[in-house]
Amino acid sequence: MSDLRSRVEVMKLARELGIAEADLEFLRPVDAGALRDLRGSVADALFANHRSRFELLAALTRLLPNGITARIAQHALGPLLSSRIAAVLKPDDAAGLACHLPASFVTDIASNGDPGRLLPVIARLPEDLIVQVGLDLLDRREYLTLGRFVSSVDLEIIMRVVERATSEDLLAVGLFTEEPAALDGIMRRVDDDTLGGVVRAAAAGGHFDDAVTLLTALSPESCARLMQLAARFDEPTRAGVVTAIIANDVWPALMPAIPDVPADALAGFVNLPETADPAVVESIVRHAHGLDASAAFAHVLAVADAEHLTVFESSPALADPAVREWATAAGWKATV
Amino acid sequence: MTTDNLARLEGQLRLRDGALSAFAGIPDLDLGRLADAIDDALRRESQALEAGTQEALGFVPGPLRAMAAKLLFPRGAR
Repeated sequence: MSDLRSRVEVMKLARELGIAEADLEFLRPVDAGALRDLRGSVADALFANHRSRFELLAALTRLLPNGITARIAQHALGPLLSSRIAAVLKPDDAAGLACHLPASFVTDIASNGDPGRLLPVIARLPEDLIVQVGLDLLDRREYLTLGRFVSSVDLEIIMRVVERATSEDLLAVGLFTEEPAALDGIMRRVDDDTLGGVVRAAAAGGHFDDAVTLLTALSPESCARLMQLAARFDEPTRAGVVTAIIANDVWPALMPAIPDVPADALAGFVNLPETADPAVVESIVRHAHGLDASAAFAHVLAVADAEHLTVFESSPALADPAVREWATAAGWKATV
Repeated sequence: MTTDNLARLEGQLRLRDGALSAFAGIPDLDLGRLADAIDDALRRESQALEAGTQEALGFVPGPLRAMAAKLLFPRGAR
């Protein structure tokens, strides 16, 4: 899982530095949390380096009518510097100025801006302008920007953009969303067709890793709902999801959701050939025991078919007396 | 182990010594590329700011231009 999240962080850092993701490929082995901290430090350094100049330009705007300042922003400063200056303006002034700019330029500013610094400005923008910018970002497939801003915008406003988004869009935005709670809020509001479509989109594009990243970012309830919807797809699609779960070793993130997945849906994942691999079963048992996820373990056992139960029985983990005692308490009964 | 470029990065980002210890496993050459990328970003932004500020003056109405120039270039006109 760390690999997936690290990849996303490397993409965001590359954007911050204005370079290609490939140029920072060597950072992929680094923990995602450390990369996120680094990105924050880089953003702070870039901002702090010229802060006094931004403040002088902000002071200039107070001498001029908004119309002229808007022309300066568009034709002299450009979106990156404008986003920096917006962050040092009084939020009311910055929001007032934004209303004199074409929505497309505000979208450019959003693409270059730091949502954290612009939060007070965003809170003062007219709702229709925020929605227009969100739709422009969707049209431009600026998923990284959308993902970063999702947690800075009121959920009701976000939903006006989301209702125009495809499942492919949601999959991509979900990958970049920085606040799992904000992402979860959106996913709770989208209908089953759209949410299930995220899995279809992942299958169509071969982006199962992205779908799994999304799964692990959701609350247990939303994760269980998405797994239930994903279970309706054909075996190759379910196998694609499970293969990504195995490859990224995200069982710990999924364990809290498993008890809420209906039995027939869970069976669609548990009884695949991919999960009959002794190494996979061993991993599931070890993680379940390590997390004391007895409810999840019991649910998996309850839906496993005879072939998979046999693999469980031969798991070296269950030969460990401590694990076996725990598993028995969770409902494990030796059958072989 | 703190390499030359790890120390350089910590200096660039004004971080305490050891703040980037999570990056200690990255080859020093690659850390140097990262530090170079940060330097490049800082330089590009400086250049854009310099050019943008000069250009901004051109949009300021005549009667206010001297005052604006003094504001934007407090150490003297460019």
